[in-house]
Amino acid sequence: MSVSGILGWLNIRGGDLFLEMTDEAYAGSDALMTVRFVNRRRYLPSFLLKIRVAGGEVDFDMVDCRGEARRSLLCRFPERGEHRIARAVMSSPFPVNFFVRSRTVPVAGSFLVFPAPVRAELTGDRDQWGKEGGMTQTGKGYEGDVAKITDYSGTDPLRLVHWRLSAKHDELKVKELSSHSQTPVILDIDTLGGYSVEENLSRATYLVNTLIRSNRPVGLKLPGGEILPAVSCGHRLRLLSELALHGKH
Amino acid sequence: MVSIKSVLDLLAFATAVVGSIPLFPYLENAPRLLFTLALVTGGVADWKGIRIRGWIPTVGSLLFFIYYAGQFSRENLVLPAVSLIVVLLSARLVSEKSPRNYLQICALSLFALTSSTLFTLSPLFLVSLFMMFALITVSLVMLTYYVNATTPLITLTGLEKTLAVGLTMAVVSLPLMVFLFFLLPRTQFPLWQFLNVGGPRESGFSERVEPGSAAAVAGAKRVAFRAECCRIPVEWLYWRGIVLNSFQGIAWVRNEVPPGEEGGVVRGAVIRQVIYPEPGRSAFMPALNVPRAITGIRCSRDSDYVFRAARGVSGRVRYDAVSIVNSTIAPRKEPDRAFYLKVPQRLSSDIAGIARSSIVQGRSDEEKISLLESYFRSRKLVYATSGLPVGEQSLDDFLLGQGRGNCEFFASSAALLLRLAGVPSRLVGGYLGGEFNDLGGYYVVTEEMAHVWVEAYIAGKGWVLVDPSRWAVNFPAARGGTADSYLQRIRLALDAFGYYWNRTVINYDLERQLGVFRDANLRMKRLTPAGGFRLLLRFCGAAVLVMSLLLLKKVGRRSREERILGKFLRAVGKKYRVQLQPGMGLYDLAGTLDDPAVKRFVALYGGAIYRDRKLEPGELRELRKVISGIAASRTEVVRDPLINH
Repeated sequence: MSVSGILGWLNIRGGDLFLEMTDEAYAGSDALMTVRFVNRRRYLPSFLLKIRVAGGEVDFDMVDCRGEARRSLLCRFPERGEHRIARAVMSSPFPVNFFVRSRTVPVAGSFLVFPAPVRAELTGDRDQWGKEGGMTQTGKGYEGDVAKITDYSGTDPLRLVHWRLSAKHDELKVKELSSHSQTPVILDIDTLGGYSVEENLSRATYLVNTLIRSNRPVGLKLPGGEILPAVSCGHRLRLLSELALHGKH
Repeated sequence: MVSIKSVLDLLAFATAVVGSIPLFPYLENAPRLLFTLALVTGGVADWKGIRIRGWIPTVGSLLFFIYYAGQFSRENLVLPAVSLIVVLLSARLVSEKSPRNYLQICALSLFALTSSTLFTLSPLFLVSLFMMFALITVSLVMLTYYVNATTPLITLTGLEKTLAVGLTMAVVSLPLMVFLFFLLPRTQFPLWQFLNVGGPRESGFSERVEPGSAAAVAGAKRVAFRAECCRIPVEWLYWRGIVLNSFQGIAWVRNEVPPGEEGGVVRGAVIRQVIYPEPGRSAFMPALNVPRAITGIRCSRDSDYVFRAARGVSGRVRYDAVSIVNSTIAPRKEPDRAFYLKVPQRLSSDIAGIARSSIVQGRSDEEKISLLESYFRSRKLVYATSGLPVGEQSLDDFLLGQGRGNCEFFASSAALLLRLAGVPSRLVGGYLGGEFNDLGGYYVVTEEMAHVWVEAYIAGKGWVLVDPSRWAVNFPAARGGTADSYLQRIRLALDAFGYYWNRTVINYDLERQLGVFRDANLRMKRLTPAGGFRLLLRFCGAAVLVMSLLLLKKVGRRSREERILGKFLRAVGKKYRVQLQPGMGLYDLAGTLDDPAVKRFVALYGGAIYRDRKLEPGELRELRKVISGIAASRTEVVRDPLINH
């Protein structure tokens, strides 16, 4: 019994837990979180670990010495804002299932939870909002139709090289694409028509996601300034972060 | 992938077999057959995935329970209980196995093994116990895995690791078990002794000598007793057990010793022995001839120096004996001559004739003994254990006819002739010889060494030992020691194991428990620096050997390239506290660290490995140099006072 006790004690030690959010997390919705366990021990694998964290639990059957394993779990945060998970409970019935040993382990997990999206429409922009398509800008782009063929400038991406034409000429020819984009819009949280700030934030979240997905540049008007419209993924996350942290600083 | 359940099934069957083997010889045929059938049926059912419903074996075992409950009685307590355990185990083996059932199989197997000690407690039990301990530990670990794992399958590597952990647990626990065995208090007397039935008596030491009753005597190799004492000359190795003082027609028996024989033992060397007799029914306690005192057990001593245990020696005991070897028993008064000269009324005329013609002429008792020896030697008698004379006239046949006989013939005829010639004599039964076990420092005496000799009373001297068997033409060859062969040495080593088993486990008591610590303390004190160093050297040597084997096994699995990469990563890890993350290449690592040595290693190593070729000896040398450079610079970094601040 003493040997099994020591082994059980060792089994839940010598490892590190890391939490990573796989999905974007929205308040009140399920999101996928990855629990990564790293076994730092040289000789003893970790057996039958159960990790309880953020209201869910994951099982690791065996993690090899100096190895690591990942498991996912669905978690849900009720409120927007920054959430910190400082602890997880690690338990195991190993080695003989007579008793379950458990311990609280520190984890480094900080997640930004965006406001729960609520369907909304742009006020005062109904005409453009409901229309198909958009306007084609004259500038160079990477996702529109082929506007013209030009010589290779030395900085063009390789995927734009027109290989068939290049073969017929002495120099490389590249496709110049048009840039598809729509009228930029700047969202003002105070004018989104909700009953509360929270509802406006939720509407703004919905609009940011929907508009950027439809390739329309979106900006955000904030009390301290303004974020200019853009359509990139990073920009979207920046806007969502601002919405998540609105009024929480 | 392997099914965890199949592994558990295998372990369950192995546990059941190991638990039942020591019990098997003592079972009745029905449980034996049932167990064998259950093993086969259960094995096939598990293999083929056939489910045998639990209620069928449960009803069967219930019927057996009723049957064995009817057999229970105060006299017949053990066998029904043990049979029932085996029946229950069989029922579990044959039925569908849930995690609870696996635990039951483990528990019942352990009960079966434990209950085998009610019949015998041999070293086989120890072997089975260790095996069962390992099996149960591994089974428990696998069962935990089976119950808690998210998948019913396990990879071969995973299985190997889980089994390794289970076995490690067992191996680590064993020294602890041994330690606790010595440490924990226990009763002075074995509690289960009353249930032990003594082993059947075989040919050997007997309380009755009856020459002519069998044509052949097969000496059993069964150990009679072991005696812990110093090595003594072979001619002194007479172990006195019983004195047969009366010849009643065809057999020598022991009658009550006539009063007034009390006396002392004169001359001789004092030898102390600790004797461990095997359990038997004889109450007579053998010790070196002539035993002066026996302690450590309740016993009585007759005036002819025969010791008898107060209660029969049914269990394992030990006693201390003090003997005066190569000596004579000298009674203060002359013994009852009429008693010791008494011969059967119906005596063969031939024997009487021999006494008259060859022995009576002696002028003194000593001369008569010499004449007797001359007569025996002239007859060229042969010592033999087969082709012996049988019937009432067997002694006549021995002396005048066939001339073959064992010690019973030699001693009986000699004592009879001495009595006829007027010399008081009696037979002494015991053992002659013994194999000295150097390993354990004791004599082992087997039943085939049982011997009978004569004690003749010589006025002024006392009872002197006369061994007529020595007058046989072939005596040294027939009763001589066995050759010092390799096999014999193995046998002695095994016997030493059995001896220590009995001494340490069976006869273990509180006194001995303290003795173990005292002995260990004394030995540590006696240990000379040279001896201690040798012991330490041996221990370290064994440890180094085991470690090297383990390391060799581990290193043998990895290639030269893997080993040097491992060294490099360890050196870099220690210096920069970084580890190669999954999905991260060596070049990525070199990119993140601004260290030319790391970059040099990666360039050299990658240049070979990523081009699918092995490292050249020159490259290996350079790589090693780079690694030692990294390690050395680490040392410098640590010593740098600026960094420390």
